[in-house]
Amino acid sequence: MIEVNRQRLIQEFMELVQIDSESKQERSMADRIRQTLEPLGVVFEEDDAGTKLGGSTGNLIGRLPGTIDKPAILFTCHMDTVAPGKGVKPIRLEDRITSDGTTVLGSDDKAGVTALIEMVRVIKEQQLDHGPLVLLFTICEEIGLMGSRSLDPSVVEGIAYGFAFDSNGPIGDIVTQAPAQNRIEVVVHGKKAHAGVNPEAGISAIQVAAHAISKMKLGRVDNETTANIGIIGGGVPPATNIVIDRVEVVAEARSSNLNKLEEQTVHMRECFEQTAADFHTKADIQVFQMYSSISFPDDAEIVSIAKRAVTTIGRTPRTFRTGGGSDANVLNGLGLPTLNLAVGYENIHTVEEFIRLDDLYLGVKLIVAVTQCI
Amino acid sequence: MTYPIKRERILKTFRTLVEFNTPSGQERDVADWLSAAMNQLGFEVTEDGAGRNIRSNLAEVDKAVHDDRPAGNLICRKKGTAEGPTLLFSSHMDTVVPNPNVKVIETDGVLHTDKNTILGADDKAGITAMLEAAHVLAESKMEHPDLEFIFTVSEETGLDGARQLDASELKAKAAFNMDSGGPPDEIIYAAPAETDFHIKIKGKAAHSGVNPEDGINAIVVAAHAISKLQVGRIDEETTVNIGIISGGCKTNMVPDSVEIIGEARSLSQDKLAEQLANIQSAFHRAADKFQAEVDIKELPMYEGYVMKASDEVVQLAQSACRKIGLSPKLAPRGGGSDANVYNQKGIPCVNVGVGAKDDHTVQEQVKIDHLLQAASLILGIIECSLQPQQEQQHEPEQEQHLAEAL
Repeated sequence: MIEVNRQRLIQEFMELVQIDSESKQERSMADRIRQTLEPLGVVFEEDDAGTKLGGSTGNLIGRLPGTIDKPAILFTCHMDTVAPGKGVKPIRLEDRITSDGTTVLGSDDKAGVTALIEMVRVIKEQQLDHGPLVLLFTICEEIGLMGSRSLDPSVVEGIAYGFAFDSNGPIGDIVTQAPAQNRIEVVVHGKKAHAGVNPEAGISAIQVAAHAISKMKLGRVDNETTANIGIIGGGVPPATNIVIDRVEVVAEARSSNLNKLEEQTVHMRECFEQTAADFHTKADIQVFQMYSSISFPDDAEIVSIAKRAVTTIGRTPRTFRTGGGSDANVLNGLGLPTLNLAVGYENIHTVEEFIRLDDLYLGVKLIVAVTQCI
Repeated sequence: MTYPIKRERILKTFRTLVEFNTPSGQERDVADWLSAAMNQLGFEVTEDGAGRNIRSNLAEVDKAVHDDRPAGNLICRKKGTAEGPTLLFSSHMDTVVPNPNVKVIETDGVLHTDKNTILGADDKAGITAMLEAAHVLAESKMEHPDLEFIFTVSEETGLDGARQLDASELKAKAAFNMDSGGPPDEIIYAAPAETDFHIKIKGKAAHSGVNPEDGINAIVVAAHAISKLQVGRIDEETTVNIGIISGGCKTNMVPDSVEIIGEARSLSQDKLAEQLANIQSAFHRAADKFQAEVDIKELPMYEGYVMKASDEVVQLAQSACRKIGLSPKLAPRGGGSDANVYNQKGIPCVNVGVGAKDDHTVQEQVKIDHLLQAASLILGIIECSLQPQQEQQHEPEQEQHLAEAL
């Protein structure tokens, strides 16, 4: 039976959310995590992601040696929060913790950080046996998984399974399908001319972009594929009298099926290229693979482990597909099979964010249970 | 016929003028200099309140880059020495950017810059021509009718200075705007009306990967609308352009807003209205299709004008051209100028070339010969205005040309 000190857990969470840690400013959080876990035997290293990204700290990689011979597993959660995330004043209500309505709460993902810290305390106190544990606290998750994407691939060497603790959904939900994402940056070229005097000498890049976009399959393409035109910009305000020679478009495509992702990306590329050719101009297109997919069948070993852990704590496991990306996607891309487990937080990225006390409690039990189900 | 214009003085005036850094709203220094110069040449100079009025209509952010004591239009009057219709000549003091530290370089009779800045011949070539004509009038015994020389502000931002002119204070029956990019033998007898449109499309935000089906992509709505529009050259007297588009801030959000700014121009008011109606309908249809909202504001910028070859102002410009040995050509122009505003205010006005080529770019240049011709042309117009309108040899060819251009 896993026992968790509920009061200590809530206290820890209340303190962690009051440490400012918007993306690239996670230093205080990182220091706090080290101070808490080093005395418990976790050995930390900090990587150079902070230097690469211009942040105040890198990713923290903590290692707790195993007490018995079992496969090594990795847990990950992220230290940064979205804005407005400074000066958080958590309010403890009867069954939940909220912010005061002026900031986010930051349970995304400090509920995860709290669970990892408490997990270490619990297995020490109760002398639970475990295999080698790696605790990865990332930076800059909220700004495009930039922290995890800066990881040295050797971090995952020798590890059997990874578990991110950073998904929406009730405790017990398990993300087994999540899309890979391609970012598509497009520059549509045209030809400048005076709009009133000799527009026929010009090629309107705005017109070319509009024709291209109007031919595209976008939004929900199928049950595992989406695409979006996120940003468009062209022209120099307030000049209406110039036929614009350059429009920039940033788009993305996602699918948990890599063939479909490729197909959708090619489709979008061809719409731009073909339309540009029709207008006797060109479009420069760059495709960036942002992160890979999560894709596990329900009978995969890692899914069985997660399900057993959920059952152990008295919940009903449910696997599901998400359309968003998380550090779990990046770790899968590095070759580490990684699931994303639901934390129970609600209304994240808004000032109405909250988490139930019961979910904080169950979250710790879940993480401890995973260490016991390997 | 030649007039006693002075090449060296023209070059010096031009160089002096382009050295003033004069973005729209920052014409104070050049206005003070011009005001003093015109005064010395026997003109009575008044400055109107255009600068203050324009400034008071600006957003706070734009006020920061405007002079806090902005110059108005300069209205310079000289009493006539002979009977004749009052003539108005006009040019504008502001320039587009980049304009600071203009270095004028002369190559084979052409003035240009080191390509770091524009030259500013648009429209300091026009001012130069007017100043030179004023010098000649002051020095010679040449007769002239009452004259109104006007130097406007904020032309480049949409003819804002000229709009502020009080027409009831002006007596001129014929006006000549010295501000066309063509050579001085090109007389702009027609220019389009322009209406700008500001369009905002409101869609609905959603996470692009999780629930894009709950969102409405404003960029897609805009793309559908624009793809249904004819833009560019619509017909020989009508153009449409989308100049600016901007929307969205991150790739993982279905963007919920996009803004579009564009313009339509036509020599024909009906055709202009037709294009604006097409634009309205294309955007409203696309918005309906995607259940988005669209807001379209139409901002009439200026009215157009079309002169007949027999109009006095056109006749005067043509006669003056011949008088200085050039063969005049009548041409329409696709752009607006202060000439549109004078016509709108009831003062018949043609736009006259001062030779600024590739204006609004760092390649801008002007031929010295064109500077000289523009000054002579002004003097020619003044002289012709005092002569009884000789029977113009009827020029069927010319009328034909006009009919075609229309």
